[in-house]
Amino acid sequence: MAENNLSIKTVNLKKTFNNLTAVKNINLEINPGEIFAFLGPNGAGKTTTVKLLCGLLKPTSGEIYVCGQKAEKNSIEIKKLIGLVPDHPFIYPKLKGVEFLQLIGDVYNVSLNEQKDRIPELLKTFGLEEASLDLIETYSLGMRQKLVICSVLLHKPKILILDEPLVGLDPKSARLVKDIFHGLAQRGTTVFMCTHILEIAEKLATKIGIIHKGELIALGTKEEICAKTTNTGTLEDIYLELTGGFEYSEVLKFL
Amino acid sequence: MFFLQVKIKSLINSIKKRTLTDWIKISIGILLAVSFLYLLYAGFYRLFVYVQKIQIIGSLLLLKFLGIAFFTSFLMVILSSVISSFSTIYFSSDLNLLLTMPVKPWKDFMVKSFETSYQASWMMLITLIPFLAAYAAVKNVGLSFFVVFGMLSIPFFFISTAVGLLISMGIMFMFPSSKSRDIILFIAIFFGSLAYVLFRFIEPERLANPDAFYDAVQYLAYLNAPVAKIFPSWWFTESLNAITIADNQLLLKDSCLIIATALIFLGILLILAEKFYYPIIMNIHLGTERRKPGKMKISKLSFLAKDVRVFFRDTKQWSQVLLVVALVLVYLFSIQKLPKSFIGQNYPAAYVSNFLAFFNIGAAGFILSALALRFVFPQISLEKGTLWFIFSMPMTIEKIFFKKLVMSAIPMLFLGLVMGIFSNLLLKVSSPIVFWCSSGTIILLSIGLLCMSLGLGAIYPKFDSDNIAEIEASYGGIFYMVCSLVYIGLTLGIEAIPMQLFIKHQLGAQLYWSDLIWHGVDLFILNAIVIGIPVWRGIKSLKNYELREWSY
Repeated sequence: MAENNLSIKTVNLKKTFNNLTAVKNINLEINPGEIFAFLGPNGAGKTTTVKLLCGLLKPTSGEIYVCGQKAEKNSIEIKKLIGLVPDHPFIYPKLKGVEFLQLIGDVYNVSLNEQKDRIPELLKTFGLEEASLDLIETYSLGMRQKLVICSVLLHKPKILILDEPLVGLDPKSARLVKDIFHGLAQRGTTVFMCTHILEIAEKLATKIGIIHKGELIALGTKEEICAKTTNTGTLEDIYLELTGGFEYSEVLKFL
Repeated sequence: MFFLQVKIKSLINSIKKRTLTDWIKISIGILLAVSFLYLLYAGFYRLFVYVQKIQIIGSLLLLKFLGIAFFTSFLMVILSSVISSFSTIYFSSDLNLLLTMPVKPWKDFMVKSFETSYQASWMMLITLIPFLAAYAAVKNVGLSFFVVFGMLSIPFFFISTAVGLLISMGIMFMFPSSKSRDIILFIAIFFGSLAYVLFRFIEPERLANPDAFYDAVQYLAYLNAPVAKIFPSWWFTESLNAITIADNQLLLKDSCLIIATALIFLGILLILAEKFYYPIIMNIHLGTERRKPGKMKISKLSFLAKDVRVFFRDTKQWSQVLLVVALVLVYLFSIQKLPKSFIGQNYPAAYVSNFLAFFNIGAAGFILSALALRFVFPQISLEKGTLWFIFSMPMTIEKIFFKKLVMSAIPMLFLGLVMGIFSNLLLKVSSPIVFWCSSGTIILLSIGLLCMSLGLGAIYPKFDSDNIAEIEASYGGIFYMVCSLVYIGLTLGIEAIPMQLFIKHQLGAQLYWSDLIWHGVDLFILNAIVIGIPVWRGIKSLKNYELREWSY
């Protein structure tokens, strides 16, 4: 597919921190409307990749294209296209929930009329209506996570980049978020999601990437990845085979 | 023991992680701090030598100074420990871990109490050293003076911390919520500011002037009287004085009093902590009830408006505006009094007021630089948790920096205007050229200091702390203070000759504007550097910043 039609493309993406190579020559191609699940053990390089895609880190080498635009040259234009939900988001504790959404509306040029329509609707959908006029410092982790998800949905980004988006969410909210991602993807939004919950990746993702020690060791649909391994079981089995998770069974015997 | 191990290991790890650049920065910081302390020492030494020479009352005045210094330190540490204890003892982030460990709560409390004692008193202790060194040099006493000081300062500061801890424990017992911390902080700052203003308005300098008293006997009685006799600060003063007069019995008596009082306070804290600490923590963490939602009003909220709201909702931030008001009031009051101190000396009144207008630039500049350090310099560092949001916004770094600049420019320019114009009005500066030159320079300094502090705050951010005092005392903060003093000094240097010519012109001499061109050029270049370089480097530094953690 031509570069311009891809939502995200990375070419030999590499990031090193002093002597540590966090991401080694990653090549990704993600199409519009795809839900991409980025999997890997702790410290594998998932969050570093997310930060590179969002312009929060600069690549040591390699290139990033977002919707056909080179990230290095068009960082502001690219940031307009992306909605980022970090892991454990910290947001201004002295702002009220609704004010944070108003701020996002202003930063992303969402018209006041649209804000008036969408903000109450989003708050209601995520069950934050009652707490909307309270300071964010009184919110629980899950409430903050939901507020950030509301904020990215407010400005309708073309690409959603989410680092562990379901952390801290109750089952009802988690289900709601999954349904929203699915619906958005059907309408052409690309969802790039880092997660440890393999079940979600298995059910939701149209494409899966597995990163281990900074290297992309598997990429494709579940079936494509499965075909490359000896394992024909669940995504969890394939994942553990690729990342060496089965070794822990020996350790467990000592406990 | 576990807590101490954590602290020691954290310290060792942070030392191991330091690069050569870090060590260079630390060395420069230490050098600057030592130079500053030496300057303090030199100043105190000159003052004490002068006071010591005053017949009859010299020694009494010195003892009075010592008593006042310890009494002030005692009260300051109480206030500081009340404020610090909220974040170290009741709202510390590691409490959840500590309280789940199989350790009695009073042990957690005591460990945190010593941490609070250290946090509340180290700065005071260091500031006292040049004061005491000058005192010891004037009194010609040796090492024993410092040994006694070192040994007694620990129980002395512990007593003041313990008083502070008892106050904060009482408050938290009655009002166990984070709101009470805000209320107490506000009350403390309000009364602190009020006390500062009142102290200045009663003109304490008159006490060193015997004419202010009805007769000599009354004056000597005042000097002979102890400063707050029932407080440990007076015991501490007497202990050190006992060394200078070689009175071992007095030394023993006062030392025993201090140590015994510290032990009594330790015992009281242990008993109260065992009984109340855990219930207080439980009450705090039970959470507050959510209010019933009102009508939601959606309106535009700009990045700038966000900064204003966050500032005025954070008691730690806005309540310090009271301190600024107190500082400015005291400054204006002192300025107004200044020409009177020249009465009786053979200077023409016009000369005095115009001459003072020149020095007003330096004094106002110094206050503005301290205010910029407190309010502007930490602006970037305080975004530590929300950097992910700032850097992922579709907004250029230049624009974000400019918005922060505008946010700080309003109060800084307002203060510049007030201090520049009002102070010169109070000085009754007779020459319009001197008046506008002095006022204009103060306003220019406020702009220069604003850009310098924000720029250096971006170049040397401190993202690992949300304590503004720590951000101010960081390498960047000290570097900014040094740069700002150099900037003020250079401004005074450049304007010295033009001001002299203006004053002479006021007294009748001819003024040639052509003589002033190069001074104007120098001032322009200096301000271009002070405004341009920190802003440019600050923006560059933010652009190159890489977010390793989601939040710090």
